[in-house]
Amino acid sequence: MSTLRLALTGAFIFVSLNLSIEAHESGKSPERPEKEVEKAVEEKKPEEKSVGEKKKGAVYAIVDGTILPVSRPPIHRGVLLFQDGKILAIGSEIPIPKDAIVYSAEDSYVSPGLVALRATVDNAKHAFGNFEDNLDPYDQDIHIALASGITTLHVMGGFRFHSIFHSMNRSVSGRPTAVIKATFRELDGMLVKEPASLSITVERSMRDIFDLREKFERASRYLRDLEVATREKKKAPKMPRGLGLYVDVLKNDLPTICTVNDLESIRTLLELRKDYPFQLVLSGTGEGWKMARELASFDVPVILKTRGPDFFFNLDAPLFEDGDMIPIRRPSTYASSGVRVALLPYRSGISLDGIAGRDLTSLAFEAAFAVRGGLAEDLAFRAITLEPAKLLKIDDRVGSLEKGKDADILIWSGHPLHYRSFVKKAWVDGKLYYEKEKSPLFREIPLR
Amino acid sequence: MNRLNSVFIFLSCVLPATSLCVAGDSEAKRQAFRMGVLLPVEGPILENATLLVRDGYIEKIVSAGEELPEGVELIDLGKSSIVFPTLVNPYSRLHEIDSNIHAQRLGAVQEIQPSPHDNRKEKVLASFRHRKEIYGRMTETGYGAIALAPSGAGFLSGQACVVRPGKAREKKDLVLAETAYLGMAYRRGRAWRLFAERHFKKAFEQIKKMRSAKEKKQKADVQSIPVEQAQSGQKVPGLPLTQKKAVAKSPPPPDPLVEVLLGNMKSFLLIHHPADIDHGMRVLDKLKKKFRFVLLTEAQEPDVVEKLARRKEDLAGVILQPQMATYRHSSVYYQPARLFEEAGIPVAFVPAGDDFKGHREIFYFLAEMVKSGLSRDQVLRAVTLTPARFLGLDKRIGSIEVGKEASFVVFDDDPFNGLSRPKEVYHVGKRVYSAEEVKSAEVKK
Repeated sequence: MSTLRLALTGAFIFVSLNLSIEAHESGKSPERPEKEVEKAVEEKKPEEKSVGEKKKGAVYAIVDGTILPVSRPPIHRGVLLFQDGKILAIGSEIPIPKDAIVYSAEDSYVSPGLVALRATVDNAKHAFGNFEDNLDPYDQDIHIALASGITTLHVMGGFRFHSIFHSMNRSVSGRPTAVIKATFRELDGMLVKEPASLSITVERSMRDIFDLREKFERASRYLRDLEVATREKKKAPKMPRGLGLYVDVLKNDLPTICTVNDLESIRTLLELRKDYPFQLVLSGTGEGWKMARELASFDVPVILKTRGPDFFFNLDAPLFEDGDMIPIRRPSTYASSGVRVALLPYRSGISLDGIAGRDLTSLAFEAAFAVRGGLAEDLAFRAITLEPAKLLKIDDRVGSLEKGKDADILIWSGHPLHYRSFVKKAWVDGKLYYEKEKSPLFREIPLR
Repeated sequence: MNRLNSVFIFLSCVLPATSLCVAGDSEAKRQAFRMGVLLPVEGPILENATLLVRDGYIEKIVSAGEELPEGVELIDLGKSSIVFPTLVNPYSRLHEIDSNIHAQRLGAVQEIQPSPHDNRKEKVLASFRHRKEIYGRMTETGYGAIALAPSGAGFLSGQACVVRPGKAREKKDLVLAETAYLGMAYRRGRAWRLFAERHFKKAFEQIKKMRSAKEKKQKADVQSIPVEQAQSGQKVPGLPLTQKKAVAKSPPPPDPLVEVLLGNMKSFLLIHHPADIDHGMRVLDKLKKKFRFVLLTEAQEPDVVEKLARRKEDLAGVILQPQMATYRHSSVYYQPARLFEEAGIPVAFVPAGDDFKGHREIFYFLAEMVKSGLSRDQVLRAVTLTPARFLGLDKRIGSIEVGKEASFVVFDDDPFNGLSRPKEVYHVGKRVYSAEEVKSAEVKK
C-alpha cells in the first residue's frame, strides 16, 4: 500500500497544479481615481505637443460599462481611455477626445485581463527553456485563453531528461518558465519575461532541504564575491554552473514557487527564507492552512486550487479525514489570516473540454468557487488578476486597470465571476485580438 | 541472347543519332504552326494565328490575314486547337522516386528536418540518376521544364538543377540549367536560429574579404602600370613571380550562400508553419543586407499574407499547391492563391504529387482553381511564366514570344474543364508527344 502511495505521489509531482487565491494587502487605502485622472489628462496635453515627432496612434474609449479596476472599487458607467497599448485614463467623468474610437460596454463589465499561473499550453510543451525561439502565436490555445479572459500566461516548458532525473530524486526540478501575452497571431510583443520563476518541489526529505540550502548558499556567496569584485574593480567571479536562476531569485528578480504539502517542509522553507531573503510562494500547501498566520507574518503568498481531489492534501491520513478542510474553504481561511492568495484550476492545460470543466478555461469559475467557500468577491477576482501579477513581479504592467499599465482589457457580458458571463471583446496591449461574434469557436453560443 | 540484345541496343542508339546528324547538317529549318487559339501568356490571345519557327526558336507570330514566307514547312494543328507554352515546375522531387513510374507518391513539398545542417555544396545535377522511362514519359504531362530540388531540407539543402523531360540518351542532354537555385529551409528553434545567424555572418565576412582583396588588386594594378612604363621594358624582379602565382591558382568555386547574398544566385526558402515564417523573417530582418528569395509554403491565411505583402523588397514570390484550404480550426474554405495575388505577390503552382501521376493531374487542379475564383490568365501564368522567372529561365521558356523556344502544348478541348489532357506536346519545335500515336501504338500491341 505504501509503495502504491509513493508511486502515486511520484507521478503527481509532475502534474501537480496549484490553486491560488489572494488575501488583501493591508495598509493601502484606495486612492481617488477621478482627480488623478484629470490631472493625468492635463499633463498629457503638453506632452503630446512636445513629443510630436513620434506618431501617436488612435485613442480608444470604452464607455458606459461597469469597470472593475481591481486595485480600487468598481466604477459604474465609467470611462476607460487607452492609446498605443497603454491605459491613458480611467474614471467616471473623463472627457472623451473627439477623434476617439468609442466602444460601448452598456450592460457589460470591463475588467483587466486575467493572469494564469503555471499554464501548460501547446506553446510551451516543446520549448525546452527557449521560449523566445519557440513561441507559436498561431496556436489555438491562445484563442481559447482569450475567450476565457486570460491575457497573460505564466507558461511552464516541457521536461528535459535531466530534470526528470532531478524530480525523481525529489530534488529541485528545472522546469523552464516564461510569461507570455496572448497576442493571437502576433509574435512581436508576445514574450514578456523569460525566465519567469524558479519552480521547485520539496518533499518531506532532509536531502531536498540540504540541497536547497547548499544552492542558495553558493548563489549568495557568488553575489557577495561579485559585489566585492565590482567595488574593488577586480575581475568578476565565475557564475556557478546551473545556478543562474538562484542568483536571479536572490537578486529578487524572480519568485520561487515551491510545491510543498506538509507542515514540516513548510517550516523548514520558512527557516531558509529567514537566512536568504528571497520571495517565497507556496503552491499546493496541503496542510499549510494550519499555519496560515505564520505564513502571513512572513508575507508568503499561496497558490491554491478551489476544486478537485488533492493527493497531497494530507499524505499520512485518508482523504477528507475529520478536521481536514474541503478545498473551497481553503482560500477564505488563508485570506482571513491575512495571507495573499492566488487561484488556479485543477488542470493547468487549455482545451475546449475545459469550458465547463476544470482547466484554465474555467479560471473565473474557480474564483467563483472560492466565493462560495467564503472568500470576498473582490478578493476572489483579485486572486486571478493582480495577485498572480504581483507574484510574478509584473504588476507594473498587468493585473489591474491603472493609468500607465498595459491595455489588457476585457468586456464581459456579465459579472466575470458569474457562470453565465462570456468575454465579448479582449484587447491585449491595446490591440483587439478577440471578438466573440467573430470567433469560429464561440460565436454560436447565445448570450443569456 | 545477350549478344543479340547488345546488337539491337547498339543499332537503336546509332540510327537515330545518324538521322539527327543529317538533319543538323542541312540549312536552318523553318516551320510554321497554324493553330486555332494561341494563349501566349504575355500579350493578348490570338485566333487563327501562325507561329513561325526557325531552328526551334520562335521567329515571328503571324496573325490571321498575313501571308507566310516561302520555303516553310507548314504544320496544321487544327482549327479547334488551343496552344499555350509548356508548363514549368519550379520544385519537384521527381529524381527521388524509385525505379518504376507508378511508384509511391511523394508529397510535393517535403518536410523540414528536425535539425539544421549545411549541404550547400551538394548539387542535384551530380547526384540524380537518369531514368529514361520516367523522364521520357513525363513529356505527356505537358511539362517542359522540371526543377529537381535538393533533398533533405536542412538550413542549406543544396543546389537544384532544371531538366527538360524527354527521351534523351544521356543525362547531360536533359539538363536545361545546371544550378537553378540554392534550396534553403527554416523552422523555429534556438538551434536553427543560431545556425542561420552563424552562417550568414560567415558569408558576410567572406564578402567583406572579397571586396577588400578586389580593392587591393585594383590598387596594385594601377600602381604597376606606371612603374613598367617608366622603366621601359626593364623587368621588375617581383612581378613575374606574382603573375605566375596568380595564373597557377585557380579561383575557388563561389560559395552559394555568398552568391545568394550578392544576388547572383536564386534562393528558394522552404517554410511551412506561419509561426516558423515569423521566426524566420526575424532572422532575415536582422541581416545587414536583404536578399531576394522565393517562399515555398503551405496555404496561408489573410493575416500572414498581409505580413508577407509588407516585404516585397526581398520576397520574389510564393510557391503553392493548387488547392483550396480551410481556415485553421474551421471548415470554411478559402482560396490562398487569390489572397497572394491580391496582395501583389506572384504565385507559382507545383503539382500536388511529385510522380508522373501528380504531374498529369495538374490540369484537373488548375480547373479547380479556375472554378474557385482565379482567372484563366492568372492560373496559366502561375504554371508557366512565373515559375520560369523564379528559375531565371524566363528568357528561354515560360511564354510564347519572339526569341523564345517553340515549346508548347496543344489541346483540342478547353484545358480548364478538368477532364481534357494534352493532345500534342512540342519541345523546341519538335513533336515529343502525340496522344493519337500513343493510342494507335497501344492498339497494335
